Amino acid sequence: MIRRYPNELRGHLWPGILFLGALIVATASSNLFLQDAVIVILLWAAIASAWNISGGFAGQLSLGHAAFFGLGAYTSTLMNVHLGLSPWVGMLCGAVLAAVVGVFIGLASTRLRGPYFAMATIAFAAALQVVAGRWYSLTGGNEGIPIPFKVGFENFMFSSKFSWNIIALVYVIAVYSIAVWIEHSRFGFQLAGMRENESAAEALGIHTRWLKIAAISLSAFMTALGGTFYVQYAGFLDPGYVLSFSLSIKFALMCIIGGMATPFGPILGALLVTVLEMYLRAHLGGGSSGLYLIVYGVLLILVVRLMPEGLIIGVPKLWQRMRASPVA
Amino acid sequence: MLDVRNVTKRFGGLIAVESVSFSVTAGQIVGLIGPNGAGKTTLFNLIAGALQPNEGRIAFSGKDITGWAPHGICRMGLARTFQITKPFRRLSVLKNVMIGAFTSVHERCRATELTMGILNETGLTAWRDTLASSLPVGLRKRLEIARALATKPRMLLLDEVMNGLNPTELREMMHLIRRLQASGLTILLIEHVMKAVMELCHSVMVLHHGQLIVTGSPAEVCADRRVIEVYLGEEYLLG
Repeated sequence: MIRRYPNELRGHLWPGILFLGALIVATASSNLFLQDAVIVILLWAAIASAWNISGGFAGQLSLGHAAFFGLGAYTSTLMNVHLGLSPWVGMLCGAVLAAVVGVFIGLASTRLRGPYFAMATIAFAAALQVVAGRWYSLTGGNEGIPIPFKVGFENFMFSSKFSWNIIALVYVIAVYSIAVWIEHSRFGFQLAGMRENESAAEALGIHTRWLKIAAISLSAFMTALGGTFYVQYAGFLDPGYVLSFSLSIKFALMCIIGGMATPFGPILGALLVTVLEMYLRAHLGGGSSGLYLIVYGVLLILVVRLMPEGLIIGVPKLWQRMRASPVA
Repeated sequence: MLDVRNVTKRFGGLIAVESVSFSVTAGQIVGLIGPNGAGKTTLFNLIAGALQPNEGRIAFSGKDITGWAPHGICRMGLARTFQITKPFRRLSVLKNVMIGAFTSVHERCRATELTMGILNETGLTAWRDTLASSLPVGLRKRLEIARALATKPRMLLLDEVMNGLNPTELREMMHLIRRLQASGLTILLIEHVMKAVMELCHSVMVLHHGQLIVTGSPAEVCADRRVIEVYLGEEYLLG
């Protein structure tokens, strides 16, 4: 009768294999498509992990994380174009700015719960997108901003895929480490309590308001770093993309599919979603460019219906059940 | 230890708790009884900070805690359990208690140590890897107490921890409460199980329509005419 704690994929074996695989591709492969794929997967994995800090660990479902991503992208780009500052400096400034904005979003989250909080984050990102599109003198409006192509470490611009790959790898390992730390720390235990039952957590001496603000702010900081990386790598800042609702959805989706509130879940989710997206784009062609969104939708429904805890917990559970009752 | 002065709570036109005053001496077990809807749990929520009183003051170990947030009151050393248990459902029993332990200690190893001790004390060691959602009601009540104990309180508010227990569980629970009192904890408990109230409590308060009508020793309270009328019933006297 009494159910045992599910056997999760413990340890760092799988992420370790994945990171090592990325490193091998970076050093050994001359296939540019493959290298590009690895960089993009690592980037989205890092951002899904950053989203996980707020949406997973803290249980504050944000559908506006593109706002933080965009803040990172815009801050570094504008400081680079207007002031001639290194994107590295801009990246840090953007992340700090996003963290400060995250504090305010966090304050909102103490008033708005569940779907209301999610809607507030959507509205915030949408508002930011309008501002970026209209404030022509500062942001270049909807036309976007090309990133000056001056190769060099200080300009955060590289001609070889290898360098991009290494930076993306450092980024994803950093966010993954934070997630592992959270899982085992006092902070993480308190977050888990808050996400399971807020009033019980408060009765146990947990300051839930502070926890929410801290988690959302940290998540915003880590997401904004990815925004700078993305525009530098893409070479162009497009407000229609970096601040878009569909991007916010994608961050959340990757994490939900992989498994929320686990360190490796969002990384797995990012891998699956990105590979699927690339495959569908290549095989469905330009004529049905929106079709992959339908596939996203179906995938999301299937995961939420069949494995609400995400693949990282759901698949081992299924495996256990299949072993326990072999089909005769 | 705990001092409640003229506390009133209104929900719109309904007066749930009306000008209630009492104090609890350190080291005692005090019972709070009364019919359903008398305002017992509301009074607990007021003391624990989950609700704010409209009037009156509440002081705990000499400090005015009126208007404090629940987490602040818990950190002061006044912990509570919930009548309708609120376990962290998708976490193991061990983690449930660990979360409480992290309020009183910061390092993980010390929190684990504290948790193991409390699981042992509350008889939950065998279930430590079980998900809280799959615990039966008797164990859930014990988990509520274990979690509260992990915050290292000086006083416990127990809200019907003996309801729905079988005779063996009831006996164990009463042993546990007595042990806690012997270890120096002050306890205020809401209870309908009169046997437990009679055996455990040093003094008993009776709440009716939001007002304290009688306070006294268990024997005095049970013999009181008004208490029999509003709560215990004639059969109790005869039985």
